[in-house]
Amino acid sequence: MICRSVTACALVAAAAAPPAAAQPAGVPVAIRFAATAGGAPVACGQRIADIGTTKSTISFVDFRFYVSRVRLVSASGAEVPLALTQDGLWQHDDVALLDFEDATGPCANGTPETHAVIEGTAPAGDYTGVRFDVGLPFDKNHQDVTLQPSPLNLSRMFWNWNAGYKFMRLDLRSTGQPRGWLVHLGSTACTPEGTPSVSAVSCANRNVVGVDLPAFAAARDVVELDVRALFATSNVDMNTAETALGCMSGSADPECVGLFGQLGLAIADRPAGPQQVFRAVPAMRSAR
Amino acid sequence: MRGPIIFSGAAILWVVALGAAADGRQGQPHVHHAPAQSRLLASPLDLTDADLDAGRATYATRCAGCHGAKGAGGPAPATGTPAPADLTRAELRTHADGEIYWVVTHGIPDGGMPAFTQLSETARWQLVAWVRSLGGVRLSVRATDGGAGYVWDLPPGFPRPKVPADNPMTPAKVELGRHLFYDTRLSVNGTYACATCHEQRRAFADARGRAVGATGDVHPRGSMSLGNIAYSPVLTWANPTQRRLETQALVPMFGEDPVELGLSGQEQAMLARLADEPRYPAMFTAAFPGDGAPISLANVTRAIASFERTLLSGRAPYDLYRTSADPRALSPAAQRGEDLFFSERTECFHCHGGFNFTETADYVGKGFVEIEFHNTGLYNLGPDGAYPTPNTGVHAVTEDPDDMGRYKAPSLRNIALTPPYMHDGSIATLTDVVRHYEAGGRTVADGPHKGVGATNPHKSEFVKGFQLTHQERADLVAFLESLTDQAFVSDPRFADPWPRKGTK
Repeated sequence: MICRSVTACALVAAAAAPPAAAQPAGVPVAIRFAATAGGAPVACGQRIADIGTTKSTISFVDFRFYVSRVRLVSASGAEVPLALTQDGLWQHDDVALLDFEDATGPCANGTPETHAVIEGTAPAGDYTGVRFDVGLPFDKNHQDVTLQPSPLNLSRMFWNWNAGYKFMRLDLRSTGQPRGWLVHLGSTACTPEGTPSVSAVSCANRNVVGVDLPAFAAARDVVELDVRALFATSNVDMNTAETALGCMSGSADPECVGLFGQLGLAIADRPAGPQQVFRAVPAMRSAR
Repeated sequence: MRGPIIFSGAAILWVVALGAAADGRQGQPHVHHAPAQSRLLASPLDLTDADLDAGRATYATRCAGCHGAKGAGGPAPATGTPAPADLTRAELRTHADGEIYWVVTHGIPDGGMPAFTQLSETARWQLVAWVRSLGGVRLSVRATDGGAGYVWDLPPGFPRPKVPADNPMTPAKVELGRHLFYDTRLSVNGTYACATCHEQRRAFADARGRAVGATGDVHPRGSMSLGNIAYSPVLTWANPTQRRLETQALVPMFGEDPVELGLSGQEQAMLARLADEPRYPAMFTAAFPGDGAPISLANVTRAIASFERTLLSGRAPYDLYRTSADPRALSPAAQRGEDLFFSERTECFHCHGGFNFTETADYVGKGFVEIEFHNTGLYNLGPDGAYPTPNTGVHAVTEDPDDMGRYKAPSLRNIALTPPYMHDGSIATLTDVVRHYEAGGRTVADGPHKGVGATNPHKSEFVKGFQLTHQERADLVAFLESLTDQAFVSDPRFADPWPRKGTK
């Protein structure tokens, strides 16, 4: 180790030393999720009424999304990352895939397996909230998808033309759009970085949804994704001509405006705001 | 280039953003200044995997102690000092190689990072490359040794294509790629192969203005010729993020808007179909020796890309004339057309120059990769020069208003075989394409696309308009027709390897 000054040397040496105290042994934590329409669980093939501004009836064709960077929040406001169980299937590093389709009925292109619980460990503590991202960390979103482990190797979640993954896909058929009304959330306005030798990109619109549930206890609560809230300001019975069916995250796609607003994402000249789609509810209510 | 250290308003802010650490400690943001001119420092290396390996070794001994083995940063070494930066964070990508080089060279005077002047310049640049790779940036793309050792059948005067180091060319891989390229098992319903829209007799394009996918979806744009695609540093009509054939192959396979081959959610079924074909297990093993499970999505894309890189076209009458193999190969009309093509009067060559008749080119020995996109005044809807959605060109990917209507100038080799023309097939003949450029843009008199393309505010300065006589126009078209390479479109090495029937 070569250092130019005593100070630098000391700093380098200090950092190179092993950690003074080992991490406390983690305790298991399970973050349960539920997909509902106003609190009632939803499933493939089910007709879900009262959706959007036209009170449409929908059924979904696909329903999956990536969650990453799960942090537990203590009463003092400190964040502790949840170390995800590396199960070789649903969870890899700090990314988990949540999957509410079971390949039955209209969801035939999906997978029979479902996944509604993120499992991990955290230091024992009194946690009163949870924060997570819906979407992928930048580096994981821009790599060779053919070489990635599960759950980053599902082609239904590939978004190759846009150099990344779909963070969420919630594909519907609705009364007015029986061909489909598709929600593909992902990063847009991507450009290659400066040097042409590098195929990495930067994206002006990352479109990662930051979720902060300040009153959440893992033992008591579930994270509910309410599709009625997601589509509350959308008209899923129509699609603007010459735009993607539904919303594929295009900034100029009118069908994205309401949806992005509910997710708290900025779009066009509308600023970001609080998300309205995920909330903490007691497990008993969700199981009802 | 070791200029004075500048701490001024002109300096670039080097923001070392610190996330909250696992123990809840909040780090202090640390702002570091690298002089603006450090952005101009460019790496002298034409990176190879060996450079990356050297950078990795240097990192392990000099840097990992503070920044962590994977570059994720670490705890502050002492109270009141900043924590070592997370080198994997996305923000690092906004900094130029030169800025990272500068920090490696000078250290952070007040921040506890030593200067690494004892490393050779080469070692520092190798380290910069490795630091870049920590954030998931693939740097081996530029490495060119993937084509070394492969016996290319280069047309006279053609340079050697660049090949990614992680997918070296081998005859076994090329042959496997040819089989896959023509295999309809690569579509959801067994009706389509790559070759369906990329027909050899049409220079690996098709006859449609807008392509049609396996399930009937109409693509907004037309199939592009794959001739000499190995030299193209950017792929498809207008997507600056598509840089590798291996990656681009995933778009037609898995794309859903529009559906092309329709394989989304079907990759396991597709691989199972391939495994059932008697020819494939041995071919995959030969192409990917040492891979325990070679019938994989990654290897499918690698083999197809390798085959595509062999699709070299450079034996047209024009080439025979130019290389003096046959001075009479070019008709007098085409010779006059050549003069027009390469004249400032028409400006054709500015965008369609070089051995491949496009300025967007890269190859072994090329100092600078050139990538150009141009708005040619095809449309002009409204005051902002809009093109009809969804065909807004590079803008559709970047959403940058200045990218409206910008498309790659395709190679003009074999152009006579690929009507109709332009990205959306909206011009039927080469003569009409020439007329479009004569007019300096297209005027659409009526309908939803009404507008005067010539006044599109984003139009390329080279599409300025010119006047041709009837004879001159015919000469220019004769020249374009002289770029048709009949040997290429009938070469058995590029043809369908499957028996006529029973390929399922």
